[in-house]
Amino acid sequence: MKRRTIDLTSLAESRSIEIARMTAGIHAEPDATLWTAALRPTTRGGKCMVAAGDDEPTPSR
Amino acid sequence: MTIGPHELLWADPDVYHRRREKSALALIAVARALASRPSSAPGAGEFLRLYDWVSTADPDHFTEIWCDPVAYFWVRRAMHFLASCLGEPLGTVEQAYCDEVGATSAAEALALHLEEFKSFAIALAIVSGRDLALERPYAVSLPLAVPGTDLVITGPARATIAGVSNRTALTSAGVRIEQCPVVRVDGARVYLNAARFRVPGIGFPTDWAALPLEFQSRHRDTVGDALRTIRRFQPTTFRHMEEALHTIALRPNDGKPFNISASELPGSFVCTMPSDPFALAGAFIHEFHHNTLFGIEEAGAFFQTSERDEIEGENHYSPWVETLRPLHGILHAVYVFLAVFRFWTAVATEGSCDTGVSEAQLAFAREQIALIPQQLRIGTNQLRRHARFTSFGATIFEALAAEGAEAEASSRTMGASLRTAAMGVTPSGALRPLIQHGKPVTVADLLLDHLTKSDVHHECDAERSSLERALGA
Repeated sequence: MKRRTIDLTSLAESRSIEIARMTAGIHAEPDATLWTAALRPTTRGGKCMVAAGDDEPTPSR
Repeated sequence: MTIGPHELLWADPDVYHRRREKSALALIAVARALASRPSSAPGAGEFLRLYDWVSTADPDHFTEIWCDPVAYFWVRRAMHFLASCLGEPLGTVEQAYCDEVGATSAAEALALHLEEFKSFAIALAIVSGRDLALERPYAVSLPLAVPGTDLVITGPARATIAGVSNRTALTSAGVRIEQCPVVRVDGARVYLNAARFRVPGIGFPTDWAALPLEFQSRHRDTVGDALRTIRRFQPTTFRHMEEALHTIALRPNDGKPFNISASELPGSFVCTMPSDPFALAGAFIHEFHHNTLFGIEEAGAFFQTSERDEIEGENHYSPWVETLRPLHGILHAVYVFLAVFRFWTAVATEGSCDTGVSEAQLAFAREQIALIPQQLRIGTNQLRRHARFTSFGATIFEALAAEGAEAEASSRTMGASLRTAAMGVTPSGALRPLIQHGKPVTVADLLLDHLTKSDVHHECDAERSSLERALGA
């Protein structure tokens, strides 16, 4: 699937109000004005295993 | 919300594009903010001239570069450092970033961070074929994953890049340019590139990210098998992966295996190898849906803010990990494990030994079908007990809770029970029944053992009693 193109020049024109709000947001509080949700660094997932010797199985969770 | 929660959670292909487009808008905003205050940081002038050069690029070339997971990381840090220069406190990631690079102020961190924009300009020059001469050489820690490409610049720990000529980076002596493996399945094109995770402040150890590319190459076929397995058993997720999965970083099993996603690197995740390809497919589905939910979160916060820190406060029992988790993490787990449950359900109902699914993989599927709905119930109970959702978050949560109940009913219909045999994964990635003290371990044993060890605040005594009653019945 081809990803949709992002055109900086046309975005600068067509989304000027949003960009102005973002630019103003830099002078205030970026989390509240731009990213809205609190996105934090990591989330753990997948096989939560513990070390095992001799190729013994450990729970998959 | 203009579309229903189910569609938003599982079927909205625009969630990824919206996030990428927003990061491009943020790039314009960063440039405008710096243009209005060029004295905010040393190097702002050179950044603005590079930005002007980047903004005249062919949009297809820019898109190729700006879809790189690191672009989002870069632009978000740039905004936060700029805000911090104007008095806002540093966030968790920004503080960790400063600690890692040795910056003692937001202005110093911003100057170092603006320097990193050169990697995008270099990548664009390579992809577009336009030569680039940097005003000051880019001083870089190697290995460097060139954004939006399969190129990895390796060699000594530090190097400089003066520009690009004829699509070739002009580097200091001793530097090599290598290509990471790329896995292509239908429209999916996935870079296997651990160096992409070498960004400061990401929040987990990345020493493995500097390993030679040979490790990625060694497991390339298994990654392809896993992607084809997803295409076969969960085609909807595969279509989303075609749109949004960019990079997988494989790390070796050093006795502390983990798979991980970072909200700041959309379209990428880390998986530990070696692995059975079906288990790896389940891990890909799991991690990819963290990415999806991070994107959905940008439409609005799920939790009301309180002093209890729902996002990072590791305060609550989770049936999936050994340590206490934030409510945000438990909500993520409920979402991703619904997708994983559906995958294993499809494997169990549509797969057979005659169609290339091994008996061990089918046994693993049966275990997951028995285990996950029980965990989902505990997870949703924990959220219902402790979370204070926003209106948007409540809508999302109720949809997930209803789907969890459906999973439990479906699990029963398929004959899964608490006495289903538990499966394990060996360090070499093989799937085997779990045996303890000479006896097969059951799903109930796993759940009760986990509650005993990890529910240190006895938040889930009711669930434990319910499990014990069910076993006694």
